[in-house]
Amino acid sequence: MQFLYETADVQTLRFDDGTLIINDADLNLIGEYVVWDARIKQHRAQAMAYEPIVRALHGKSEYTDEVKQYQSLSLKEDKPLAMRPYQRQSLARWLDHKKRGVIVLPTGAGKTYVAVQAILAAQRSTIILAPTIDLVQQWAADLEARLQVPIGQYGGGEKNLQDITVATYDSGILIMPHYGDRFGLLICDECHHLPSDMTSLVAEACIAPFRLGLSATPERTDGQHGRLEELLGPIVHRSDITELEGEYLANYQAEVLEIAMDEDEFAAYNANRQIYLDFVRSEHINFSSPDGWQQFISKAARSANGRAVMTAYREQKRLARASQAKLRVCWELIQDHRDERIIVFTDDNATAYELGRRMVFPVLTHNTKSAERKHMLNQFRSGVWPVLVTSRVLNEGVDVPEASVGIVVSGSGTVREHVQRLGRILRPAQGKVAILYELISAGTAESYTSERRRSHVAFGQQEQDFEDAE
Amino acid sequence: MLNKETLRYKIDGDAIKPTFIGSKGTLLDLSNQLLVFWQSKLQETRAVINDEITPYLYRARNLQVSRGLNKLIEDRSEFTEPANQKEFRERAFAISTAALSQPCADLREHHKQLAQQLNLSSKQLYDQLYADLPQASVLSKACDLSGTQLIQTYNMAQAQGLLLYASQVDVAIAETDTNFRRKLLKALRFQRLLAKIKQDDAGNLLLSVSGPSAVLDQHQRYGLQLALFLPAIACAGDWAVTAQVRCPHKERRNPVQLFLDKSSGLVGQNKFLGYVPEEIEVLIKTLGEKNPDWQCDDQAPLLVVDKGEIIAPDLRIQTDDNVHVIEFFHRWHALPLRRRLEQIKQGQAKQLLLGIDRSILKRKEFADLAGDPLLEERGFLFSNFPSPSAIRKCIKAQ
Repeated sequence: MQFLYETADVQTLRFDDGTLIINDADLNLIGEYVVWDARIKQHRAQAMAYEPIVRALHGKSEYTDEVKQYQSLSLKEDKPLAMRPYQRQSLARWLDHKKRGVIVLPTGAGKTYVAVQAILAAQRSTIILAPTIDLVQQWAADLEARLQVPIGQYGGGEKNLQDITVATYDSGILIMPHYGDRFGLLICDECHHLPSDMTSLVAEACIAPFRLGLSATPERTDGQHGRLEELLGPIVHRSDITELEGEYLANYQAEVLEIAMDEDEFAAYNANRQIYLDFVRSEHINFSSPDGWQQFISKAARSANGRAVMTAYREQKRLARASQAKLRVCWELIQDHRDERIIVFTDDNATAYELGRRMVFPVLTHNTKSAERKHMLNQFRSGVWPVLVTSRVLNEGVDVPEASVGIVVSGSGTVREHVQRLGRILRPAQGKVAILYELISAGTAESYTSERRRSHVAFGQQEQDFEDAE
Repeated sequence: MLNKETLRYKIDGDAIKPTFIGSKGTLLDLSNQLLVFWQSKLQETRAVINDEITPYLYRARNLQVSRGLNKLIEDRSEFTEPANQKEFRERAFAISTAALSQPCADLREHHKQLAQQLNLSSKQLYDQLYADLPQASVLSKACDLSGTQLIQTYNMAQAQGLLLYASQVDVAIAETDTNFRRKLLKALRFQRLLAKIKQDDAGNLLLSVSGPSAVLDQHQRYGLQLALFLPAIACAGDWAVTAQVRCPHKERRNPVQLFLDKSSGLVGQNKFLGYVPEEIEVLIKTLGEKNPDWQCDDQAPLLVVDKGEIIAPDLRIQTDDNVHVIEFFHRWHALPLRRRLEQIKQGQAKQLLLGIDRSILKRKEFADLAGDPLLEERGFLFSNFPSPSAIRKCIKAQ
């Protein structure tokens, strides 16, 4: 029960610019959540402390709650689907944890549907945050179809607040100081983005007592994933790709193809790499330290032969990423799978456009304008253009269920990127066997990079701490 | 404008201080070298320029400074965008998809066949397919600043860059020249900033301006407009700016204080004082043409209301029998609108007419204003920018 008094000396909770202001705070009960703000001579707390503060005060101290602006809803699902066992289990675990926590499911396992059930279970105004505009649009379309209510959107020019609203994390940072009191449920898709310094503000500035994080790969290279528990709750459920493969995800194969470079290119690769390595050794640059790359840049900038070293560095990398031999093998693979839907992944735009120009295929990068990007994805989904070349923009979240073949021509050493790329081709279909090819230039640093990114159970290895390679 | 990567500043306790550079010696040499380089690259593509500028940037003692200077030159240069190739790509992809059904082991041969179908050589097909990427744009006009001006612009941009992270900006102007004040407040109006203007007992002009962090809608655009106001402030005889800003790289969670004044050495730019946006010029011209018996201009007098608050209207229109002054309330100005309505109800600013962006009244928290009879009586609505016909209708109704 909540006590409502109009007198000024009753403890009052107010929402202010993404924080809570508490006048006459009962420090015995809520002292651990508040700090004294000398400017306004009142106590202040993070908005996300709303739930523990109210819980601490409830029935023990009089207070007026002027914070909560979110609504109780009566949402219904238009055409309910049968939940898969692991979806049911993950939802049950989330409910057991007082509607807080992180659910880890592989891409393609139906995380969105679990979120829909969480919204129906909570029946409170909800904000869903996603890292990209493509994902926001995907969420909005899906939720509107399932819940048959208008869905608000923030991001990519849209500014529309509704009881159920989807926003990018960037927009979330902007709107939470204003609307952080309007949501009872906070859902963070691809929640591994959340713990970074600025992005974490969206969770801190929101009062939502109920919180759900969704990710296939919650671990972060900087170790900040530990903050997910504070911001959203503990990991309450985890299913791996291998557990769901075959029944709920497509069967898949992951093949690494080591490709010998042409003689002239291999010689050029070795010569350039030697220049680069000689410089790294002579300058005692330590790439295993967090600022290794910065050290390299700044020492190269000050060195007389810095320009030549940088050129050599870029050239050896370019040769390993996009050798003629790799391009030929990539072309052979495309020919072998010409009746299927193929995504070709590269690490950088230059390689993506080189492939696109040489093979005359659509290339989707951050340079692709929005309308053309939408068109390319539609043409790919409908099979009109069966091959799509991309650098990193399709790494995360975007739904291309028709794809069954992935060719990684080049990539970073991060496990997350590689697992997410695999996820693009794992949506189940009758009799589908997805294949992820990874092309490695033999005898180059790519072997090491490949080993690092395959340190995951999805590729038959034990998971390790996610760390970036070179 | 500088980006986060090229902003240089120091944080000392709760204060943040931009790192300015001197306008002599090696940095002046570097500025001149960069400017000469850009002048020599007319008709070159952005890709070539980016590649060839690298040694110049690396030669500098501080890469962050050279990149910052280079970015300001690039922003002040003009490029011709290449022709859009979307339709060509559509045709090429249709042909390449059809060709996939006939296996061809040799990629070069395959490419040659596709090119033939498009009546092109293989090289032409290769070049044209993605010829509209930003890297293919061509330099048509290079930045025409001098080396010294570039450094002044750089220092101003360091301060402006921090203002993009401000939540509150307080400005004090000791300049008493009425003409200057009118121009400054006009610049404030024309940048559509959200501000409370006052005069203190000593005659100083005090502006309390909301920063982009305090604005919900289009905050990036608002931030840029706030930044553009700083060169106008720096034209004053004596001035000081105090701003609460978030650290761009999140070094502190709480806001820190930015303080700038005349001693900071920033050089003001008069063009920002005299700046009249094109849309205002067009509006005044159209109003004059359609109403030859009216006199329209942007010289509206400043109105002093309760507690020394000053209102700087956007337009003055003199009709046969009256002088009307109009204040526009753009999408950010919801709170001042509420305050203005109160002031008018209290009998202040009697001659003021109000132009209001519809988007304000669409917001839940300001929907109640829509029914205010004063709006019917003294105001008119617009979408994005006022139309001459709406203004005319409002004036005729007075």
